[in-house]
Amino acid sequence: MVETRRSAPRSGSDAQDDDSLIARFANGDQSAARLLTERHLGRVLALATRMLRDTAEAEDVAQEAMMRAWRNAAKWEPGRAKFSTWLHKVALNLCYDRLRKRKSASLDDVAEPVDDRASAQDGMEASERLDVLKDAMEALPERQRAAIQLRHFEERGNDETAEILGVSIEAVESLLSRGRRALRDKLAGQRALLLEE
Amino acid sequence: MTVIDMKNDMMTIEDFEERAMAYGADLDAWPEEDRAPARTLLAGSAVARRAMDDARALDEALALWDGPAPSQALMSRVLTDAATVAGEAPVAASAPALRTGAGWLARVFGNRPMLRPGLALAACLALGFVMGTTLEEQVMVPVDTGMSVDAGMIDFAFALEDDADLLLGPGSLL
Repeated sequence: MVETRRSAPRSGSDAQDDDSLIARFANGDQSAARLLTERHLGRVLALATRMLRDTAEAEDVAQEAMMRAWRNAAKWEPGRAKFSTWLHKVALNLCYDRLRKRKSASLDDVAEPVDDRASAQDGMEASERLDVLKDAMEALPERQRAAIQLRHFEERGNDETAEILGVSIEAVESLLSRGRRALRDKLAGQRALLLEE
Repeated sequence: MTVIDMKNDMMTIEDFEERAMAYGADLDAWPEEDRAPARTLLAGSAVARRAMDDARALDEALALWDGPAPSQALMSRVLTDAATVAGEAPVAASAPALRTGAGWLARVFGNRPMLRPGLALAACLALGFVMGTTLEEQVMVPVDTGMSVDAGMIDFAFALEDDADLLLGPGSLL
């Protein structure tokens, strides 16, 4: 587990390089755009995918977030904020917008809730656990979901997570704790159902 | 170690369970000041170890969820966007327009495209009125004055359009 969580490269130490790349892009250097894209697109896409659980929508969000980076490049102020923090904040806000639009859609358009027991067969296989987890994540309040994304998957520190979410560090810990507890309870409930059958 | 230091180093089992649930089973992911007291608790408390096992099980479930790698098509779209924006850069860089009367009007009236033709028309009428009332006694009125004013208004309207991007602040893009 530790190896998995550590496998993603950290971007914190790249802040200065990002500033330089943005400046280069603003001065017309297209190779800087490629480097920035290679560095950040994957993480932004992963964040959007886990938030939205829709590949096409997640790609749209990732593309739009990068587009805003290009459009703001000339106005970027080095050292004022970390580029990756800004980019994730933009992506997260785009995700929130889409999630709210979904909520405001007609109830007739909302998919039927998944019957957790439907997938329970011989035992809780990894893929089934993952399905349960994804459903449980989707059911979490937006900010709890985002806090888990940023801390667990993105390995952002508490302060950076707080900055992206626009909350205090104490609130981040609370969001994480409540969110993960809900996920744990959902997984435990699924196991209990399997044992009963 | 003073009594105060000992108190600072202490962590209740409730605190431990809360941190384990929030940050997972990897102590390196915990706030730095909590790691040492957490290790102390882990060494001596079966409850703490159970909480850690609980957190580890959730960590392992979350680890199954890999994010997708960006497709080549998405990469291409993003880089095309970058090239497009870079191509627009010389237009956006025409910042001096902000210092002209057009830029000032754009600030006053906002960046509303519907206003641009109206402003141009109003300016034409106003200028025509002023010229008609104040210059009526001048004999040497150039024949093509009206034409040159029209051309000026066209440039003026375009300058307003050029200002559109510059009027957007970073905050508005979030």
